[in-house]
Amino acid sequence: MDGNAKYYEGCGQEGPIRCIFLCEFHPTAGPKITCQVPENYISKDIFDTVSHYIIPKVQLQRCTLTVTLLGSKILGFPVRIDNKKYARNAYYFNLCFVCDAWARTVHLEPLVKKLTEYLLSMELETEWLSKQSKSGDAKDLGGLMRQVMQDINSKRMCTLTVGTTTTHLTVVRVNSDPAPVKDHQVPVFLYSRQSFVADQWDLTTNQILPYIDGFNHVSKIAALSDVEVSLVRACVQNLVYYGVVTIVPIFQYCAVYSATPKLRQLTRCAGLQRQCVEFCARSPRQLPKVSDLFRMYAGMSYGSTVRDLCLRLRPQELAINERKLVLFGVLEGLIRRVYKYPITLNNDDNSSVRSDHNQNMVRTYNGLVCLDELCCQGGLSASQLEEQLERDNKVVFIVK
Amino acid sequence: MEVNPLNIFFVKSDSKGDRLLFRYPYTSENKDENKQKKCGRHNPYAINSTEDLLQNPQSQTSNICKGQLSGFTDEMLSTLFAVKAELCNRKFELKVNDVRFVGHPTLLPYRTNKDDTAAMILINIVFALQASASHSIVKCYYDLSKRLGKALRHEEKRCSYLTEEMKIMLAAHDEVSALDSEMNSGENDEEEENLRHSVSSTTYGTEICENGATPKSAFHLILQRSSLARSMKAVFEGLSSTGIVQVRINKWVLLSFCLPHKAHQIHNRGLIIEPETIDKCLQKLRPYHGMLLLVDPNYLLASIPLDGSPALLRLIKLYSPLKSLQTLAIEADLSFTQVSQLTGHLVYWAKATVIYPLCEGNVYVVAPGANVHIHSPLLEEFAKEFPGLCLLQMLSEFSLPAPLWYVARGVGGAGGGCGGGARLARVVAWLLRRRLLLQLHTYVQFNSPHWGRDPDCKEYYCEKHDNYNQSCNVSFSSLNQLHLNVPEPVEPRESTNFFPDSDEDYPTENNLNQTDFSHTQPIVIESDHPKYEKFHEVDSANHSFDDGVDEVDGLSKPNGIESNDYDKSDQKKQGNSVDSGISNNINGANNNVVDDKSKLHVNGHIVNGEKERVETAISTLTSRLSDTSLKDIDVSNNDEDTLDGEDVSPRQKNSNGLVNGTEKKNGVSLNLKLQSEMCFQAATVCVAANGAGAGAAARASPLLAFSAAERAALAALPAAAHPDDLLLLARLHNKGYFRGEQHLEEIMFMENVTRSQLMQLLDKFKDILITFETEDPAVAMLYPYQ
Repeated sequence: MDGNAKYYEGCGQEGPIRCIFLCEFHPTAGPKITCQVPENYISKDIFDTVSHYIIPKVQLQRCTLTVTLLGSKILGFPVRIDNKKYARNAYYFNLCFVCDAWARTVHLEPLVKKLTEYLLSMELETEWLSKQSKSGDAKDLGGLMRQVMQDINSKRMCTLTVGTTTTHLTVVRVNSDPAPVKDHQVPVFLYSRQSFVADQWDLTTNQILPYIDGFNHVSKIAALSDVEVSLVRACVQNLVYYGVVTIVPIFQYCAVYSATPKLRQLTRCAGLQRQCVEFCARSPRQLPKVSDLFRMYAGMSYGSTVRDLCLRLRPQELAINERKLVLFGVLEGLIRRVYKYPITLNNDDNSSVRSDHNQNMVRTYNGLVCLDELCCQGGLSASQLEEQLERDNKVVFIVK
Repeated sequence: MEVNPLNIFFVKSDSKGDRLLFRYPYTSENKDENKQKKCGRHNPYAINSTEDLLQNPQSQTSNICKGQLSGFTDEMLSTLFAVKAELCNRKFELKVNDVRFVGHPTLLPYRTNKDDTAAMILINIVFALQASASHSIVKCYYDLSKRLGKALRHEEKRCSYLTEEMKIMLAAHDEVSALDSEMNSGENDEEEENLRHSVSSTTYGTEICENGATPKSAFHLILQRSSLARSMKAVFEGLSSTGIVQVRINKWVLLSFCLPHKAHQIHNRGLIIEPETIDKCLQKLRPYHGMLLLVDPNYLLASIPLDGSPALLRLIKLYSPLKSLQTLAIEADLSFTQVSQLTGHLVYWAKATVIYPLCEGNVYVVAPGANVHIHSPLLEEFAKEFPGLCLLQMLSEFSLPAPLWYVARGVGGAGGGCGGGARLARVVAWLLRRRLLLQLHTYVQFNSPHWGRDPDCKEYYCEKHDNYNQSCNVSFSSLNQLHLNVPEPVEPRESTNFFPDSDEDYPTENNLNQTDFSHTQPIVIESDHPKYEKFHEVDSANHSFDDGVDEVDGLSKPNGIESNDYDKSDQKKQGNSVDSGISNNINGANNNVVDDKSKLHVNGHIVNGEKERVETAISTLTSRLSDTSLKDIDVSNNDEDTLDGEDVSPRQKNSNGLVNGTEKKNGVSLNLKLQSEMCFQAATVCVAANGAGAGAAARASPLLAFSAAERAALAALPAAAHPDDLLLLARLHNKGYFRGEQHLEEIMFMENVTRSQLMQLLDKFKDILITFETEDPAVAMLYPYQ
């Protein structure tokens, strides 16, 4: 293992493609590398030890195979073409990507597959591969592989044209599905708006885009942009998947936040301080002091709402925009939202207090839905709802 | 569950070729189901193209069917796992579609006959996992495979265990295949071609059963006959049920293994703790931390094997969630390092977790990850454990952060009698075990005029923001703009104008990744700072107990190095003796205070034979000297500091002026502490430097730690007029306690200060000391995070 702490096995980072090679089953010589870019990255010895993972048995054809051996990771998608015209009546080949053993390679799997399919179709049509391997002159193939490696490593996308056929390769990040977006949540951009290319997105996303400002929640965005709310949810979830936006809790003056251990970063990291000062300023001309910002964050704890904090510290006078302060804190993980979950205690007696409330009240709360969501569902303000719930002596609040 | 293994395989490869000797589980695969499963992973964001004529027929994308491995024949697997000799004795990792195989091929000498010892055999015990399993899980399985291989190698060497077992297995295989070929000879030809792998499948087995023949499948037979196969079954079942494997191979080699990812889920569903997290947590473990067992101590004691470490046994016998590790160490007569290692061990094996010892002053809130709802099974568990109490009501008591004694009172009143503090402690321990409660600590930050800058004016950047700073400062400033000019209802077309596509490749992260690639060659990047600076920037406040990081603090000030060194050793000493020492010391302290004044003059009267006394006596003179000089500096630093001209040292004043409202006893113990520290320090410095001047300089350094601007801010406070407060502040500041790194409990523990003293200090200096409440990262690490 190499000495650098940043690249250890399992660090979860993506790495570059180190080498691309095409390997085939030679009728007499057995598995051999037809073409390799760069030359001799995989030596003959290493190849021999791993060859039976690269040209495997019949059952493993058309499976994505990844083998981690001797410090490198080899990804392949072995293919067999049955045809009488080939020696031994079949043509086996496998196009492999080689990465470092520490690198994450899941995202490259579809790429290998697609590229192989492309080569396969060319082979079926014009015997593009077998001709080159027979003649021993694999210049075209080498050029193609070099282009793939360069373009994917630098631009993460690649367009290949051979003869009249063209194929496009793009690396798509493989993420787990994001949690469903709820109506009361607020999407906020993680990257500069300027780098967002609207053309690449669908019409609905383009329609809601101007309303994503870090303060509007999903149902408000739906109302403002005149888009059905479930569509907005789907769009936002899609944007979350691609890491364009993230979800933050809605800003309310009655909301409670709590400092996290990360807050101490603010006392030390000058970069974070600078960003915080710039972001939280009321106007760019008058910048707030870091100590004031820190004091605001430090004041956030269980039991004190943003309103209390503003009354106590008066952020207006300190040139602090408290909405942005909270947004910045949540985005940077300096603070986290403390939610209030109403939950109904299941005592058996049906209280008399309950009967005179309206139908909306009789529902029970299972402790999975927080106040924000309930407010959004019921179209109530937080104080209204809380007042209602306070009157119900069977409901307790769990604050977490 | 991606933590669970899908299958375990045992493959051998020798001169006679490779063979899959055993696998567990070995149930048959149903071909029809297989076909249905082949649709592949569904991606909700992909466009569903129903007919794609250009695409080749769908290839197989999944090899997992209903939680079981499918689509591999035994023969195929054996060729895959029988690696070439070059790849032996190192990690073997192969991923096929969504299954990952991991193992440690072991090459070992093998006795085919009694005479011939030269032959080598390769065995490979391979686990099949889901490909999505994290790297740390894979590593654990690899480790297990390696250990199994080693155990087998040992047993083979000792008594040819492997040879015997393999004979049994091969015999069983041959038996069944012979039977099979008999059966198949009368059947259709279609199945003959996969004759060899048919051995495994029980479809044939059931047929045979129906026909009245005895054996079901070769693996079934092997399981009956071979103890090695049974051990492997036990391994597999242990892993999938509890994550803990305790198997005696050949009734000789005990193999204990724990998969922490799984083991912790037994106590808390959904909580995945990786070994790496435990390591990190251990590094942060401090003597004031405590341990909370997740299982009954008696049960734990019973489960420890006979040859278990006696230290561990002692530790568990003395265990109490009220005790700190330090106390445990003293009581069990172990060093702190030993105790923390044992704790780490218990945490790894999911027998314990790390907490701050339970005490009345602790502040708890409901943990953010607490999974409590109306149908939660925890409700019933809680009701069973504590009849008459309701979990939900209990948790709602913790909605506001309040010390435990306050909650105790509240519950006594409202909840219908919690049954006193003891029961509440049990309730809290229960809740902590389930990770439903999280303790909040108060941290203190000194509000210095220059933020984020070290004395040498170098700016510190954490990694993330360093990156930002270097590349582009887009993210937040642009967000800002966004807010300034956004909500204009615009038509889509306009919006595209509004956000012009600057360049083609949209996601910026791609660009970020590009920059990543530029240094993909793993190189050790030397930091250009000298080592100590780095320490200072990153860890200085991380007042580590054992390693000498503290010394760094001293580097910033003149003359301070030596004294700080002593300081550290001093601190360590006291740290070690705090808990047990307090009560003893108090007696001594009372004497001390009583004769304090007289002793200063009498100088040299050794009352007891105690060492401390000796030191005190020797050094009283020098300490007195240094005290006065300290006072001088006090005066010079604060113009408003109107010290009365009395010839009383601040220390004495402190001891006389206990009227402050502090608890008397503790006040005294602090006093003793202060005094003994001073004396100790002064004495040693005196000895080292052989002169009173050096001693004075060392004593003066606390106030020198404040910069000029800080001193000015201090001087503006009325509280600074009290030299004792100021001295305490200076001392704590000097030791780096006001950098938001150490919570109050840590300061109390390390400096032997009472909570009330600290609270008063915080109150008096609240203009320059900012407090914030958050969790202890070392403890919070073991909590599930959303």
